[in-house]
Amino acid sequence: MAALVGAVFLAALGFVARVNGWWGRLPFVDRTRVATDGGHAHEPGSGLAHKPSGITRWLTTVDHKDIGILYGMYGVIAFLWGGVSVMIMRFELFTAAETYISPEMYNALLTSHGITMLFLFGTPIIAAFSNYFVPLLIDADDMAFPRINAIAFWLLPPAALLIWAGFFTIPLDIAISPAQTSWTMYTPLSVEQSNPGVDLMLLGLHLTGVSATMGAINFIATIFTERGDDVTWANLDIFSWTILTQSGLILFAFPLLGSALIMLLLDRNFATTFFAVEGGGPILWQHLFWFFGHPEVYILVLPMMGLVSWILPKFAGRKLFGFKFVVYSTLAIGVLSFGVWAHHMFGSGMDPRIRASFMATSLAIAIPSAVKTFNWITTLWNGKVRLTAPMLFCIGFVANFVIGGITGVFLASVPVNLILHETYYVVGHFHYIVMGMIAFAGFGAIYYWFPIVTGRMYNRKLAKGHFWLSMIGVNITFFAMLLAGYFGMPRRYATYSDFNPELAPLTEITFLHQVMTAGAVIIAVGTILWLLNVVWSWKKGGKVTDPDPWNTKEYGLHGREFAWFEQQLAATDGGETESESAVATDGGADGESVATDGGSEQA
Amino acid sequence: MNVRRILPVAVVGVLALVAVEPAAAQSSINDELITDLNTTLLYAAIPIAIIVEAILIYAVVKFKNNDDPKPTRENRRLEITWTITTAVVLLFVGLASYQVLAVEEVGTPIDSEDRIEPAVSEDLEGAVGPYEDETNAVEVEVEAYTYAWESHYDEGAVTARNEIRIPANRPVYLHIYSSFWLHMLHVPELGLKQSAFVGEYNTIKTEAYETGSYQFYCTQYCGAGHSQMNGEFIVMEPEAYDEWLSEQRAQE
Amino acid sequence: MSIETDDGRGHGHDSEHHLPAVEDWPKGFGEASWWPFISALGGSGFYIGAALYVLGQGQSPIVSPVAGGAVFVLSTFVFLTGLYGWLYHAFIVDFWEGEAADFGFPLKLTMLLFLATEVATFGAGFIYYFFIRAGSWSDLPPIVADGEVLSTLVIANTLVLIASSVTIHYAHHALLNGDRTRFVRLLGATLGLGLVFLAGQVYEYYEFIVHLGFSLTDGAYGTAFYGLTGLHGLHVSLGAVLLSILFIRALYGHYSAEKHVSVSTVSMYWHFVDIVWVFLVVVLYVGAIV
Repeated sequence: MAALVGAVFLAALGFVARVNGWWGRLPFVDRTRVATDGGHAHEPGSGLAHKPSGITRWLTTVDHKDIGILYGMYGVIAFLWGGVSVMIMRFELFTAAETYISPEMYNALLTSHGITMLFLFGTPIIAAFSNYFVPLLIDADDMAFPRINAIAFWLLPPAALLIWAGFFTIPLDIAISPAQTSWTMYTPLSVEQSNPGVDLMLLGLHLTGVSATMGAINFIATIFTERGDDVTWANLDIFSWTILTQSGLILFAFPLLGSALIMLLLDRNFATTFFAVEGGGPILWQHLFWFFGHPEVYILVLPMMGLVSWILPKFAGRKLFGFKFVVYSTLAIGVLSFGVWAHHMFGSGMDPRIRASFMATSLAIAIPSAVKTFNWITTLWNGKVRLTAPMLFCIGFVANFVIGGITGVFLASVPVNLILHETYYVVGHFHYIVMGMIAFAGFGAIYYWFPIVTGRMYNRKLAKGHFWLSMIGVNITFFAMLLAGYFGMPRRYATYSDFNPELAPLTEITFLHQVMTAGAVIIAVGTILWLLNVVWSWKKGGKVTDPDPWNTKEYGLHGREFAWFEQQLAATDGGETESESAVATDGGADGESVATDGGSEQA
Repeated sequence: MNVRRILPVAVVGVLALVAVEPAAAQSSINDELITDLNTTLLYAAIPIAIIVEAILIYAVVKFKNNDDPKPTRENRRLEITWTITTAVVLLFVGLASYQVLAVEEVGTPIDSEDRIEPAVSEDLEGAVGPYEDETNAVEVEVEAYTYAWESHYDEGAVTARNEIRIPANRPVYLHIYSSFWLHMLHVPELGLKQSAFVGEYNTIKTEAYETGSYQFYCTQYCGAGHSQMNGEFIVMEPEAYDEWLSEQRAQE
Repeated sequence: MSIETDDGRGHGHDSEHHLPAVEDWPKGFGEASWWPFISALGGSGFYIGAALYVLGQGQSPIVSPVAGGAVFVLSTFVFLTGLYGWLYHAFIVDFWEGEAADFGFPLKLTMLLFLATEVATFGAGFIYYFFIRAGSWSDLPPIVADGEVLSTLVIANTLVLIASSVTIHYAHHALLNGDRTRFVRLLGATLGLGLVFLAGQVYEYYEFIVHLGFSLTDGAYGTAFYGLTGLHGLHVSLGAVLLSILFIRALYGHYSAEKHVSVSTVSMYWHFVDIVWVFLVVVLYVGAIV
């Protein structure tokens, strides 16, 4: 069985490698606009090529756009492995008994799915968008530290190799197996499992933390110091605001996790007592982990809320309603997110007074979240809603957030938490957030910016099919999980055949598991449509010649990134003279139509 | 179109209510309090969810390709209104939860002057004994390890494996601990949950109303045998319980 | 107004797109540099080395026990090469042509942000210590029970580190006042004091481990003691490396009253490390015996 999973994994990698190799031959690699970076006049000698060609270009690039694409490729590869791993698990859970993977392999996949999706997909895919677009949105030449930006990315591939090492070594048949710690790595389990695959994973995780922290420092420095002359705090776009807040969270969350991981490694290898009973105890790990872990949720979701706040108004035909309040709520969530961690530990026997205060903060954080939802809905009201693929994903995002958010309130209530904690309810709740929101916003943003990045348009029909399959699949799969939680189904169970059918609602649970698997298949089909669409359209999609493919100028919502895109198109048309493009660069040409997402009016 | 989308949501919502509703016969004080709270919250949450989703869908359908879009005009009053409304709803959730949490069966029994020493067999901190006036209280030690459960009665005189027995209608104190790794006792139908730590007791309290057998689970991921760490939680008639206990004592 | 802050190069006219990596190898491109890739390769190599070290331990090692160390040493060279190339092309190659005032703020802000992450890094270790200090706090090693942990050596070492904070402060002042000789001397003194501190720490470890038999695995306190002092020692060592770079560049004539950003940032870092030490002495040494 292990060999089979290894083979599936290698096949997945091979597939990805083919996509990757294929992508190297994409026409856009040699597009003039990239090679000349817009054809502006440059001081260090005209005629100087900016980038080498071929693979060297990608290994040496310090251009934020290229690094954004690298992050994106990386995130997609991780997303595919995370998806493959969960599909294997879902098929195993289709029946109650152990069918074709062992509990050990199930636990390894469970661990890998969580770690991969959060650390290797979530954070990098956000970095892909922020790297490519934040400098464009704030009118900066590049990141504040282009080389640190590149270093931060290149730390990630080795990190993934370390994290997945246990799977690579399966065919070798040596004494390294994939970590089976679950993504929360609770001690003493994570200290006492002697498998060195755990050490490799911890080292890899630490490396991703270093990378994320470098990126966060870079983004704060960029947004503080690299803004163009006419980009002020008052008219800073909403996506940059959320990236700024997210970076602030990373600043404190990831280094703390890094220290905790090192402490865990020391406990494993040098017999220290950080999390031993005679030392800090297992509860210390839980405190440190969740002090990182809960802000991590907001690290992933805040920028995605920013993307939706940026894209949704474009297709609502009017500015974001309550721009200031959306910014305030972002900051409020950022601050509060550090004060809610213990709601993951309500069952651990904490002092009831402490539990009550964490319940209060956990409920309070729902207020700014609700404010955002109402602002998005009001933005649609009285607008002109155009149901393009990015818009559908934004609406799906809001719809899923309503369910994901309200189910979260139940978990914040300590008494209700006691029956739902560590059941499928929790899994359903946070998948509404991570899949229903984070992935949805990611898909929406990929469709929205596809013309800028590739110069081509995706296939609209496939994209809409992708949306409907995802939306239906998500709601089937994760709603079934909520119900299974109410039936008492504990999470992280490799099998459920051990339940006593006389006592446990085994029939209902089995049925719900089968529904979940069916829903997961629907999501998978949707995702395959997306992948095919993106790959095909990147190569063969219709060329975008209109600098305003979404007709946002009509509504005065033309973003800076599309204004930049217009300059690129103008520069590569060939007919333009140097002086004409210089005018465009001065920012005068489109000054009127460059919308700042609603902030400027009040300023 | 919108009706077709709202309908399933409503149906599923009602189903969700039904799913939790059959607990008409409350099995324990914990279950009674928590289920009531959960039902109350669902009665608020499901309409709110349906209304918000309906407004969202209505807005999308109604303003789809709208010929007469109006520019966004800020409305501070509206912002403040929905902020306060949300806060009030959540305040209600908080107060309702806090009331339930204040009951020591749902919250945690806290050591105090008017309690007797807990009757436990291990020399560990953390256990809380019954009140002096709870003369009919029963104390059971629940030990978890990788991968099984043991229940100990009468300060370790009687031990049972993968089953926990308690009498109905008497205050019961469960002193939970682990002798290897971290585990968590979860009896969903009785509303009981508590982590089992190595080296310390954690006490939870309950009083069961109905006799019967319930499935209990380990809900703290603990490795390869996690899915097998289940057992039977048996609520007996008080007399039957006493009888069983003395029988066991005689055998040991 | 856009400024590339990690390379100290002047920027052209406002309307022109600035190229970040004109001097870097490979030569002849504006947005290509091997240095990040090489630095990241070396940086990841530390982790690969640590991984191989783990695999080389135990009864039946999976790889040769020396593999980890070898990769670690090799990675150090690769990392330093990348770092050198990066810093050289970003900051040094045309140090005097850059416009000082423009990129001072971003770099100082960045150091401040980095120090914020350091608070979290140290925070985890201190939280462990507070956990055990407020917890059972039993099974203490004799060194704590006898109060020996707070020795004259520690007090002397603390004074040395505080003195080094004072010297770097006045070194910076001397530079701002245009007194180069005094600047170089005080900078050298700071570096010297830093090295004395490190030597003192090594001597303390030696005394504790060899003579008093108190080591990393000596109960909960041993873990806290060596974990926190070790983490701090690593930071002082990094500080000493930074000070050495400053010192060598100062000897080569770098820095002036107008161009002193790296003196400011290293000074910030050094003060931070100093403050952490004072806090550490108060809670870990004094706090253990009161």
